[in-house]
Formats: sequence, C-alpha cells, structure tokens
Amino acid sequence: MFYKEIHEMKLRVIIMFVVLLVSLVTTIALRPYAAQMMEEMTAQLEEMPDFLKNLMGDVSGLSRLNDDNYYLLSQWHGKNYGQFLPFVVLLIAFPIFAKEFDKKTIYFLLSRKNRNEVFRTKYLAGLGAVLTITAVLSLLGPVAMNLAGYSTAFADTLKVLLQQLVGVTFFYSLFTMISIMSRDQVKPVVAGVVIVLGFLSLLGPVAMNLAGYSTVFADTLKVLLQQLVGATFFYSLFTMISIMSRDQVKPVVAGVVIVLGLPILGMIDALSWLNPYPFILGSSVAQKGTVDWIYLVSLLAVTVLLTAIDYKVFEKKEV
Amino acid sequence: MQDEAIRVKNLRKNYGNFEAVKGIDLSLVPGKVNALLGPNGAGKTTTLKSILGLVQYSGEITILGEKIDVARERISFVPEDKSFYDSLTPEKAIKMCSMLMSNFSADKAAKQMKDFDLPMNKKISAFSHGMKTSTYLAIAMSQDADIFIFDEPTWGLDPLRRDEVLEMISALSESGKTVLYTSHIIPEVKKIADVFSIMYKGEILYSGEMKGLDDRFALYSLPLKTVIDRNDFTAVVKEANSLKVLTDNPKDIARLKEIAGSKREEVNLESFFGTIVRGNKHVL
Repeated sequence: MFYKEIHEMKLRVIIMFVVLLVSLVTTIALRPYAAQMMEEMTAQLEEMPDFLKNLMGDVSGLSRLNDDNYYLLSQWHGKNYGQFLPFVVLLIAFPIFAKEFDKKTIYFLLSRKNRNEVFRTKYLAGLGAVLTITAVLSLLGPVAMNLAGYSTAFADTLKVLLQQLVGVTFFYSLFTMISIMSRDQVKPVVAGVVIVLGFLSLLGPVAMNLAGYSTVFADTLKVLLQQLVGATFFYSLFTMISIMSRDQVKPVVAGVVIVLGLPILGMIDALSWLNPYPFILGSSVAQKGTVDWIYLVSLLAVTVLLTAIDYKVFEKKEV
Repeated sequence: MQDEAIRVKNLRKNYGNFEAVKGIDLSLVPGKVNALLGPNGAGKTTTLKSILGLVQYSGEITILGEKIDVARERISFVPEDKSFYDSLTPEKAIKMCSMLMSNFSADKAAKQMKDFDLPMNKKISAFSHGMKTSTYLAIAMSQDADIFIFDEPTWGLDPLRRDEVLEMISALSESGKTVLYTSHIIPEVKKIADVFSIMYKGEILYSGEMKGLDDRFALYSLPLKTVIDRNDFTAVVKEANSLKVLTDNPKDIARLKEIAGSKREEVNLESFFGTIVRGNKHVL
C-alpha cells in the first residue's frame, strides 16, 4: 500500500522540493545584499505602528545579519523556508484521505483492507514525506551556505547529534504508539525517517569537512527539531480536516484559514501560545540558542491527541 | 463449507430520518450466484455497504461465519461507482494490486486486461467509462476470493462486453465461488442468477430460487370488478382493465382458476418482479 501512497504524492513532493530548492539558492544569492537591505528596513520599522512592530517581534537581531550562521538561521529557517513549512505540510496532507473520498476510490481500499491498516499506512506515508522534506531542506541550508563559500563553524555536531537521537527516539515512540493501534508495516517508514536523519546528520558534516569547509549544524538541527514537531502538528491537524471532508476543496480552504488564523489569534497576548510560527521559525534558537522544550512537548502532546482523533474519526466515517 | 456464505439478520440502516434498510434478513447460498434485484433506491447498495462495513448499521452480519474485519480479504468487491486510481496505467495498477493484496494474481489480471483489449501503458484517466469498468472488473476477478460482490457490474458496458462479463460471473460460481450481485436489469439477473431476492423500499419482498419460478407460482389476470381479499395472495396489482394476482398456494390457484373470466399468465422474472414490487402487501 506504501507503493500506492508514494506514487500518488510523488509529483507533489518533487514540485515542492524544487520550488524550495530555488528559494534556498535565492536566499544564499541574496546574502551579500542582506545586511544593507536590513539596515534600510530597520529605519523603516521605526516609523511603523506599534501593532505591526509587535507582529514583527524583536528586530534587534537584524544587526547580526553579517554573521553567516545568523543569516542562515533567520533568512532560511526563520523566513523563506520556515514560514512556508505549514503550507508544504498542507499540500502533502490534504489529499491523503480527502482525494480517496472525493474520487470514490475509498471503496476499493476499504473493501479490501481493514480501516486501521488503511489509516496507518496513509498517515505514515504522508508523515514520512513531510519529515523527509523538512529534514532534507533544513540540512541543505548550511550545506548550500558552505558550498557558496561562506564560512561557518562545525564544533557542536556531536552535541546536536545527541539531541537529534533523542528527538528521533521520541518520534519513534510516537510512531510506535500509532502502530500499537494496529499491526505491522510501520517499520519501513520509521526506518526511512531514522536513516534520513542519521545519514544526513552524521555523514553530511563529515563530507563538508572532508571538502575543507568548517560547518556548524548545531543551530540548524535545533531548528530542525522544532520544525519537525511543528510540521507533524500541522500534518495531524490537516489530516483530520482531510478525513472529515468529502471533497478536496474544504480541506484546502480550512487549512489556509488555520495557517493564517493562528498567527492572527496569537497577536492577542493571552492567546500568543496559539501561534506556532515563532516555534517553527526557531526564534528561541536564534535568540537564546536553545530548543523551546516546553512548547515542543506541549505541541507533541496536542499532535498525539489529534492523531488519536484522526483515527477515531476515520474509524467511524461512513463512505 | 458454511451453510450461508453471508448471513444478514435484522439489518437496519438510516440516513438521518430516512430508513434506507428496514430490518432485513438475507442469506447467501454458497457457490451460487445470489442476485439482489430491485429498482434504484431500493436499498441494495446500502445493504452491500453494510455487509462490507463501509457504513454504520444495526443488526448482525457474518461473512463465512466471521465478522467483516476478519473476512475482508476473502471478499472481492466491485462497487457501483467503478472509480479506480486514474493516475495509474493498467500495468502499474497490477503492480500496485500485487503489493496491496496477498490473494491477487498479476498474471491473471494482465491476461484479463489483454482479453478486454485495454492498453496497458495508457493512463486510466484517459479511458472511456466502459474501459474503466473493464479495468476494475479485471482487477476484482483476479483476486482469489471466496465471495465476489458486484454492484451493478455491467453498467456502461457495450452489449458484447456485458455478455462476456456475465459469463465470467457465472464461471465464478461454477468454480465454487459465491457471488452476490445487484442489478435493476431483469434480463441480466434472469441470465445468471441461481437465487434471487427482490428488494424494494428497504425491504426484502421475496427470496427464492430462480429455477422453477413458473412451477411454483401462478399469475392470474382477473376481471377488474372481481372481489378478492388481497391478504390471501402473495401480491395483487390493480391495472387499468384487470387485477393481477400472484400466489404459490395450490388452494388459491384452484380458487382463481374457477373465477369467471380468469386467465392464467406466464410467470417469468419480469412479470414476477413487476407484480411483487407493485402489489406486495408489505409495500402498499
């Protein structure tokens, strides 16, 4: 069944990957002009109304854009890539169930396979794609920066790897929890995710250093961890909408409303936790150099709850 | 072998306030073509969906003595809407089905698709309605299932292909497979069904063997002004110039024969179905 799911999402994944790759190249190509542009923007910000300043957050970091590591963190992870990540998740997630209902192909599947197997395989295939895109494009940031000749450090890779292994173990336990609901086939996706993360984190920096560059992946991987959790959260949310809908239009509309609505609600101080963007964009990593563990654990708890709801809704859905 | 391939007891299904299926009982005879005949909206598709666990229902359904989740892989289903994954070519569809189903024969599917003259490397999205139906049927019939369920399988096929498909369905039962087949096309049912049930407005009005229908039942046309108690007969239909009376009770047959102006008519599936549906006392 994975073959079918991968075949169905292949084109979408390739297109998104190419678009984001172009965005990465553009981000790096703009590196020489960034500091100058940001200085001009800082002056303009002074004249902006307070609510817009609040929306922009702390702008003191703009002066750090001459630092290559900070540039990558803020302009790639925090902007050109990070802010579009929920849309990437949306584009992967919305057709997974809704397309089957819409095209009536769900009869073929559900008359031949039990619902838990259908749910598990579809959910994990989509999640695998989401996590792979997230990991590859996140790690490509520092790789591309170094290939372009900018200098970055490399010292903290092993420390980050430790964090990463803890993160992967955490994700594995999340997948296992889902797999307990049914039986097998979880291994290929979990193995795929572990291989992608392990391979790129271990061999990536090794290759860069063999090539004579000195690269630090520490901040990138911290942001990656937050992005993976954020992407999984949005994936669970959009999957629920996809399951509940009978066509493909409603999930997209609802998804766009959620993606745009959460930051707007987050502008209210008491509801600022509803805005997952600062977390996904890695603001705590950029400002304090640490992972926002409280938000990470909370978001994962919500994600697990959403996943359970996804399954329950799918289990009862009439076709 | 089980006495009943599928057993449905007191099945009820509502969509909001609409009662689609009203507490039906149904048994499928193993190794036979069991037809579920009824007009559009009779509740046939809802009954199939309930059997397959595609909708929530009340009542009891067992398949080969098991619940659907245990027996699912022993069933091959062709739905009314034969939409398949149209981004695939037949060749890739076969590959996908081989990975998806343990009881699927890729060789059999490839041969069947060639027999249906389907282009193996063309996307299904470019196929005509009949070609899409043929693709679905070829895939479904390549499963080594114990029970085959077909919901209006010949809809949209040309007459030649339709006959071919009906022969294939008959061949399934000849090889010991159980077939549940729904249709509103009476000549098709007459051609292949061993056992049939008539469903109308969510109720099963009749279940029985196809063979010997004319021997078991008698259909009389009576003068319009004849006074009879309709509850004495299987079905009574008031037509423009006559009363049509259907019964299988020998005493009633003898009584009808004696009525002045009565005329016995042939009982075939068309007349039987029409009289049962239009005149059944459970319905009217």
